[in-house]
Order: sequence, then structure tokens, then C-alpha cells
Amino acid sequence: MDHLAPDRLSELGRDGSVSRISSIGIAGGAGHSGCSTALRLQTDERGDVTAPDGNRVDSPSPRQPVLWLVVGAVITGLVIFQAMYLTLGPQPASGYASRELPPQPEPVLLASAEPDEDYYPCSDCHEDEPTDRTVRALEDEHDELELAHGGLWCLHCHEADDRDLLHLADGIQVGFDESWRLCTQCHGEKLQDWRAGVHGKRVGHWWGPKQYQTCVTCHRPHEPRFAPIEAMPPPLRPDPARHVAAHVEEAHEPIE
Amino acid sequence: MSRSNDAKDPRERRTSRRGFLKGAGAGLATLAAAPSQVSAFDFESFFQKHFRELSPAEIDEYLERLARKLREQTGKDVQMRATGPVDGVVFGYGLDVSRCIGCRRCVYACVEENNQSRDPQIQWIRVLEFERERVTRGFDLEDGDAYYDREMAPAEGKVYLPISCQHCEDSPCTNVCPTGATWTEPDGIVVIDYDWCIGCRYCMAACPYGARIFNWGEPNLPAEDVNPDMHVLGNRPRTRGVVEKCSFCIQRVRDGRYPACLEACPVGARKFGNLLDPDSEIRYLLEHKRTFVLKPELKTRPKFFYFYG
Repeated sequence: MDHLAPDRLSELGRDGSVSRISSIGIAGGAGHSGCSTALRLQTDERGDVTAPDGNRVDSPSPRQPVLWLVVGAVITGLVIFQAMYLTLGPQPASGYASRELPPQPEPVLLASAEPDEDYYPCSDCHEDEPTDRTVRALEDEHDELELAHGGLWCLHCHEADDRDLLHLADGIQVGFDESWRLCTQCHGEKLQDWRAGVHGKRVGHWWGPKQYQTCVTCHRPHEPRFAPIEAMPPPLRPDPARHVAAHVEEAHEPIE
Repeated sequence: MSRSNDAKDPRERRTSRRGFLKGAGAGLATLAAAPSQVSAFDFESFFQKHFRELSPAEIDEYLERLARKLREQTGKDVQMRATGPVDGVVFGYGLDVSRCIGCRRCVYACVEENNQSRDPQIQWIRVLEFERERVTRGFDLEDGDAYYDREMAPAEGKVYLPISCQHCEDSPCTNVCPTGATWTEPDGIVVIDYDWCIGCRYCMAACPYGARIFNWGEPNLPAEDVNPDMHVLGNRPRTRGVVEKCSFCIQRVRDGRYPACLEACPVGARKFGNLLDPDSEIRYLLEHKRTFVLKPELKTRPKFFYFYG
């Protein structure tokens, strides 16, 4: 047990009889009362034990039975305490070996959302179509799209000259697989959180290979707000009648 | 008056003596019927040493015994492990309150991962539903409804707060346990030694978050639903009369994996990582987001942080 510092040990251990007592006290883990009783005895040059008031203690003397009775009681008490402590007291974990973390690999992209197969590649239709740049409600095609994204219009994001690409605000063309670059032009703080792994979902390992997702895996770009999804059933309420029935059944089982 | 009293007393005594004999008879009958149950009594687990007193060799023996029994019961290739903590790791959990939609997918992912009893039903995560207006000055857990029943989530005007074990630094539950059956591991996970839990439920009274659940009945887990990847201090099947709770998926996180609830969350509201690693996700959200813990006034210092993303 390491409950007492070594200097305390040396303080106690100058004299044979005292150190015998103190060693039990230390082994007991909390023998402060025992140690203080023992410390009240002091050792002179000849090795005789004296009481704090200077009177020589004739040891072992039949004239001081009470003192030795007390010392004996303290020793017995400490032994019992130690036995209880070893049996009941908290024990350090001994079964664990020391483990270290392996190096952390970079996160990898979980399968990105595929472009809509009904429409992509866009150039199949738009190749031969003239481009009408006026902002309008779509009626012939794409009329199922609900545009609810901050008043954006198709060509704010889609590239008019190459329909299979998107473009950033400064005109740089990006592919559909890099659409997150487009989103984060406005949602910069989300980009920071996403890079740190706090916005969006990651799966795999908190330490080890992990997969992340891009914006469009979860958000619909034309209508980014999450739609409600199916809720799972609530927990069962405690049912007193059922519990009573179970206990009655249980109570009668062994007698029959 | 006194005469009638005198006459009544011996009769009462007789009645109570008869009652005693009846009780003793019933007791003897119970004893006589007991052997059928004694055969199922497991001496080894009854005299099992405390987990923290086991040497590595004893742990191996212990795990093998537990696994063998479960393989017989379930017919599955049960892997019982006692993976230890990693140096320099203290786990923390983050939950984005502004994102949670209350769909309860985490609850059922947890049930499957951690071998919770299906009947009687045991769930380690409770999702509380609050009126949005009522939480503008913080969450009062008394206002939360864990039994909301909706087809779609989220409902209009509601906010949700999932609660499970908060893995407190100064955990009241471990402080009151009379047998030392629950304690905090070096990586901050509050665990339970199910062999040493005597079912006194002091910890449940002490926990301010209602995170601990007692097995009032014999747990019922269909063999085909058993998750064979088990940790001795975590998701191994429990017995009647012991307390259980979230263990941060100790069988997963000690191998570096994310907890099951995190991977089940459809909106990515759940975050997990090493509080001692300045580059971890949990440290990022603690340093950059508005965070809070539940009932901070109790000074339990939870390692489960709620934040607004």
C-alpha cells in the first residue's frame, strides 16, 4: 500500500517496537490513529522508550499493564481493520494491460449520393435545347421540383453552357461530385464544422478509419430542409396490472 | 372492560401462533420445492471475485466460462471480451439538440447492440419531447414526455432531448454502491459488474438522470437477436435483479469504433470522441459550440454534452 509517503515511514521506523506497530498501521492503509499513539512514545539514546512527559517507560514492565493493554488493543484493531480493508476495500484494476492508440488514418468519403438517374446526364436533353435564362416557374419539365432554397434559380448553380456541370459564384466549373464546394460558398460555418466532423454524420471509428458524407447525401439541394421521417414506437408504459399478475403467478409456482 | 381484554389477548396469541405455523409450513414447502431451482444455481458465478480483483489469467478463465455458457444458450459464436482502457483516452459524448428529430432510431439500435431485454422491455435511451416554448430558458426534465407517440418525427413546435447515462466524473451512483459493483474506469466509462450487483437499487435512487434500469423480471432476449460481440462490463446479457445502463458501447469504443446510437442517428446529431485529444470531434464542439450539461448544479460533471450546432 502506498498510502503513506516514505519520509513518514522513516519518521516512524527509528525504533524497533514503534516501527513494528507503524508497519502494521501502514499496511492497514489508514492507521493514523495507531501511528499517533505509537508516536507518543519517544526513543532515547540507549534505545529505551520514554513517554512524552520524559518519564522513562520500564518496558516490558508489569507496573504498566494499561499501556501495553492499549498497545495490544490498537494492534488487534489494526489487524482487524486491515483484514476488512483487504476483503472489502477498493482494489486497483490488475487485469488490464497498458494499451496505446495506433496512428489515426484520414477520414474517407462514404459513397456519395448518385445524381438523379431520371435526369442525369442533363446534356442528353439540354444539348439541343436553346437556353432560356429568364427566371420562371417550370412547367413542361422538372415541374415536380419544389424550389425552396433561399430564392435560388436553376442557373445560379447549374452551368448553362455545360449542363453536366455546376459552377461556383466566380464562374469556376465543378462536377456534381464536388457539389459541396458550391453549398459551402454560402454555408461557410457549416464547412468548418463538417471538416471537423461535427456537422453531418460520420460512421466507422472515432479512432481509426471513418467515413464521412457530403451535403447532398442528406440534404436535397432544391429543398434542403429535412422532411419528417417515420418515428419509432414509444416505450411501454409501466403496467401495474401486468406486474401484479406476474408476481402472483411467481408466488404460487413453488408451492404447487 | 378489562375482563373482555383479558379474554381477547390469549385468542389473539393463538391466532398468531397458527399464523406462524402456517407460514412455517409454507416456508418448508418452498424449501422442499427448491431443488428444481437449485440445479440452475451457478456456484461459480455466485462466488465470482470482483472484476477488479481478477488477475489477467483469472479474467481469461472468467470470460471463457461466461462465453461457454452463452454459446450453449444461444447457439451463437459468442465472443466475450474484457478489452481494457487505452492510455490517454477519456471518452466524451456530444449531442446536437438543434438537430435531433426524436425519431428514436438510437433507442432501438442501442437495444439491439447491447442485448437489452425485449420483454420486459428495457431501453437505455429515453427520448424526451418538450414544447419549444418551454425550453427557451433551458430544459427542465420534469417537462419532458418520454412516451410521445407519433407517426412522423419531428412534430411541429417540439424539441427532443435523448437521455442515457451521463458518465459523470463525480458519479453519485458509484459513490453509493455498497458492494463496489459499479465504478468509473480509467477512460471515464461508468461500468457495472453484474456478478457483484446485489440489486439494492441505491444507484438508481442516487442517479439524478434516471439513467439506470432495474431488471424486475427475468430478461427475455430471443437467441436469434443476441449480439455475439460482448464485453464483460457492457452488453453481455443480464439476469434478473441487477441494474443496467448505457456503457458508451464499451465493446465498440474500446476498439476505436463509434457507439451504435451514433451510427444509427439519421441526422448526425450524435458525436463521440476522446476528450484528451485536442483534434477530436468532441473537443471541437466543446471549443466552438454552445454546450451545456444536464443539472450542472449537482456538480456531477457529466461527460455527456448537449450542444447547439
